[in-house]
Amino acid sequence: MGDFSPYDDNGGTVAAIAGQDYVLIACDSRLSTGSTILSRFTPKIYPLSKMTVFACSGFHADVLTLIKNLEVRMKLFIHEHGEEMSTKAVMALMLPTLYGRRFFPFYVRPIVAGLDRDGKGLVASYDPVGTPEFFDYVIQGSGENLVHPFLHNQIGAKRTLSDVPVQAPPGLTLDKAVKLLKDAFLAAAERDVYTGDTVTLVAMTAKGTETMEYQLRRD
Amino acid sequence: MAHRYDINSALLRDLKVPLDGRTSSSHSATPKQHSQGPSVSGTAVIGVAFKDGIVLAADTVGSYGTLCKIRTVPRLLKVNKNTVLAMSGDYADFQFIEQHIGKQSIRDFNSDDGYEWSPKSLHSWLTRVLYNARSKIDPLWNSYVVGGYETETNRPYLGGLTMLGISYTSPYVATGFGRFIAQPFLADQVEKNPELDEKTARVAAIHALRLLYYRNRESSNKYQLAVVTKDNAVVEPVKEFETAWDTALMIRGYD
Repeated sequence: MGDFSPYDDNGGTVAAIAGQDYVLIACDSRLSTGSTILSRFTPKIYPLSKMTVFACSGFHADVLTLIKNLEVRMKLFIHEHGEEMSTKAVMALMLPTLYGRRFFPFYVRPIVAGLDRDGKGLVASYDPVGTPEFFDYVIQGSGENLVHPFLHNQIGAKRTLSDVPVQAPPGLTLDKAVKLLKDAFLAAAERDVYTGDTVTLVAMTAKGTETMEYQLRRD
Repeated sequence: MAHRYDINSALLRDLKVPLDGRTSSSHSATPKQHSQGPSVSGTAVIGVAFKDGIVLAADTVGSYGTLCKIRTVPRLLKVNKNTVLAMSGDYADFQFIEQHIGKQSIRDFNSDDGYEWSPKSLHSWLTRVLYNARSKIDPLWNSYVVGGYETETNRPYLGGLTMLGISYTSPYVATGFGRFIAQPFLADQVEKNPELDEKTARVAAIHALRLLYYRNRESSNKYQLAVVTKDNAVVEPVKEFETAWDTALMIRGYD
């Protein structure tokens, strides 16, 4: 007895790329516990506002609680200020929200992605206690170790010996970014048992939001 | 990370309590803790969504470790004409939840504003109850399947929920042992026929229970179904399904 653990790891992978005039967020839809699948129909992307989305893997119960907290804070903000929270403000809010649970942490790997007021893409990722990091591209979750080197090579042009032109984000088009993330999730699903079923891609530009879905391996 | 809970050790723990009532842990460093494991418990429940409703199915055993302590106990709860609930795990914790839901339903009725539980709101509320309990390290040892008809969207609703507060929706759900045996079968049925009708869904649900009965010693062939369609929820009386054991003779080591 006394072997109760309040935590679980439900797996899954989330990723995002910030472009000059877009932001692209992707996730898979598998929810696992141990070696079994709870659901094949649970994408990990949650829209927060017109400008901002949230994507998160880790312990799903904590993810749901964190989302509920954020939604309340964002609604209060609207009532107080008469406008939606900006993407940068949501990114700033994440740190105290996560660090407030420093001694009983949310076991989560969140990404906040969105557009700033000029329509430029922004991406922030966090560790479970709220340390923020701002990159042009990021991947978190169970497929992270498998796919991060691929993104470094293809987008960041790190660890590459070839003379293939660099696809650094200022020049990386949305179409190319979609292809890269699709391939990244296809690759993750090949080797990571916690990633699979479907990949959902959300492309955000000043014109609006487009959601794409593709099948992944289901084994 | 999470350890698998071993039901046999729960039984052993209880057997270790001496007859004079003193607990064996009285001379250990930590005091005896309650609510750290199930005693009388129900095994897997399953849920299937069809074109214009949902079916929940559960057998009627209340187990005490490997002992079949209660043979006929209801594990399905009709909350209202749109909402039903199926439980697995600790039965006492379920009764606590049952009382909680009953009280809230009366409060809602007394308000007389037309508001009542929908499957989605019950799912959301139960998630909070289980999550808060786990956060106090005093968990309610249950997994649930919540189902019904969502009048707001005019669509069937089916969701699952674990004791830690992990909740999700899916066109087919199974808890516990059912995740290994019933869920793959139901996935196959739903994929072959995405627009299931009520009759096919019922047959699939009963067959899923049958598959569980063949491999799960905690289960039985006495079962209940709950069917929800628009403005109509029925928890059916206890029935028994047919089984065929003749193929078992082909399994080496069976006898």
